[in-house]
Amino acid sequence: MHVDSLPSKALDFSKTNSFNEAVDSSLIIREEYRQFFKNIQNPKLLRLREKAMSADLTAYLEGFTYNVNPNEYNAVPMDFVPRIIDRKKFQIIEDGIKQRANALNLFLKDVYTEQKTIIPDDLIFGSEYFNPELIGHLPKNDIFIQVYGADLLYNGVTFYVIEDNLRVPSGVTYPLKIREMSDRYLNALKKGYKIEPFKPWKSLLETMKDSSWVKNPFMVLLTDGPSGSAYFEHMYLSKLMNIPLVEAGDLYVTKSGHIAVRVPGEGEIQVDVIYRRVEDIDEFVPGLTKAYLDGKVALVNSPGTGVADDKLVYSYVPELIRHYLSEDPILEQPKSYNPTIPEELENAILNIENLVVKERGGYGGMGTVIPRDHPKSKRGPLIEKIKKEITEKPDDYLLQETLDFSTTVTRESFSPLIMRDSYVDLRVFSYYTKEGPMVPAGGLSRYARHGRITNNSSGGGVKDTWIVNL
Amino acid sequence: MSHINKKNLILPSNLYKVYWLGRYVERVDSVSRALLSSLYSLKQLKSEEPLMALADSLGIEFTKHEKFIEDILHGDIPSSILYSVRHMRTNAIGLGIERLVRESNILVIAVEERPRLNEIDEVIKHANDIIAAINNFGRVINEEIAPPKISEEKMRQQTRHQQQ
Repeated sequence: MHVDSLPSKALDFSKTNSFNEAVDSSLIIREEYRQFFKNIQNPKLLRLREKAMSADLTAYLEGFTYNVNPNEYNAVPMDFVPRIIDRKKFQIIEDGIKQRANALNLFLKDVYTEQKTIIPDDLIFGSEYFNPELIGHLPKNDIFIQVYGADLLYNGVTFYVIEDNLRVPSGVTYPLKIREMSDRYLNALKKGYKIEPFKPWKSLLETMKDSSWVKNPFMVLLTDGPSGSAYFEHMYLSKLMNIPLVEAGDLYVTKSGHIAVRVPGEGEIQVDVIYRRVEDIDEFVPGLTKAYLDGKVALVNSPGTGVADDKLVYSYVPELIRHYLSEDPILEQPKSYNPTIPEELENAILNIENLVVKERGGYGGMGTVIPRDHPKSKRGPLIEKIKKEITEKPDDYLLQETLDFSTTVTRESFSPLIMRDSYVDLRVFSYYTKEGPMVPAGGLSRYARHGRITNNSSGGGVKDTWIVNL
Repeated sequence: MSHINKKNLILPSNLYKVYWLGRYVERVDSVSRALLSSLYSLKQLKSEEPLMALADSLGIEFTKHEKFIEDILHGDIPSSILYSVRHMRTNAIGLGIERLVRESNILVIAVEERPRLNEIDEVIKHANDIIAAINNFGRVINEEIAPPKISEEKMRQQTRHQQQ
């Protein structure tokens, strides 16, 4: 199927140097997307534009938002053109993420017990996320990171992990909401596809149950409240899992040191597992870390996991995999430069124009600079500024090679059909149960609306990810 | 500690949201009606006094009536209608009742409309639209949260059945 079979101007390609996942270099639509393009042009599919508008509006009115600032109300930009990935390709991702989850979990166990890691001590103990209170503590089944979200890029040949998120990774409900909207308004676009079910909340429930020492644990989801950026996700997940969504004031430490939820006029109920979607847990529930360390409550994820998603630690993950698992890494990661090592700092400075500069404590694209994406006229002063900063504060940065990653088609309009190519990344989630990590078939595909940065907090949009058997 | 039914818990945070949701609904309703009545006075009697009294009661400085109307409709101050409906929406979102979220968003969109402030009829229409929307929101709250209405006659029968 050639793109010439589509209406004229239906596809607007500008990023011709990047690998396009939907259309090959001869402008032939790739196998994964062929049926989708047939579906979208089906003459029996009426009022596609209105249906897409209804889906957008419904999601907006139902509170599908990501608000960077507390008083904002920003709809999550959705695209109903899915990212379509063949099962064979996803299997590599799945295996690679499981391997990474295992290695990172063993690393955390090592950090908080034996302390014989292969990473320099000052990187670990100097990390703002290292939590000395956890030394000597082992959670049930030795699992620290029940929930793990890995960000990946594809270059047409292989997937690269560009970031590990081990504290409170978010975004798992976004593809679910898009799928819900598609089912309601645009189900015809799925015709001819056998999409693997994506039910991450089931894995999450399982991992939460496994984290508790109690047989039938009472479980809750702790949110930072309706003004928080990811409240939509917290509410959506709590409904799917049928567990209470609680806020800071709902929980407190009892005289016996347990955590209880307050029920006005009735009393209290002991809480056994908290899926915490807040970072500073003792700010929200004073005494929560102590209750956790005393074995009175299980936390998903454990406190202190941030030390393993520190950007400087990330640069060591391939070595951690070899060290703890005696295996070669299944997934690649871009070459990183750790400025705390003099030779690497020197190499980074020589090559800085081709690198991505990341703040060590940054997240969601914030604190990330890609000099190559800046206009040539402004690049010189910017590079000089970066060189100065990384030399003065090498502990605060990580530099990575800039990858030429893939694009895919995103909707500009369904009627008339206009699509354009956008850079896209993929967040895949892993849930660590007593049987090992589980990776649900799918994930959050985020596309850049401008430039290359795809994160929601930097204005990126979201897509569903279909895992299909071709 | 475990005798309480763990499903459908009424948590303190939810009670707090219901309380504030109700307060904001009342505030939007009362401020909109007071504004409407003052606008009629301005239109028919050419008197700014009711608007000035309203400004005084809300702690808003009155300079020109157009500025005051803009402040009370859309100002970033706790007494503005937009401020109240946005906070009402936050509480509705917090409760997670889908229909309330939807309707509160429709209300926010209605309030965000910008009438021409020097066209008094346009502002009156806008205030009327807000009152209609808040009435509709009250109806939705009734349908979603309120217990079913039972007639007085039925209630009297129930009293007899209590067998005191």
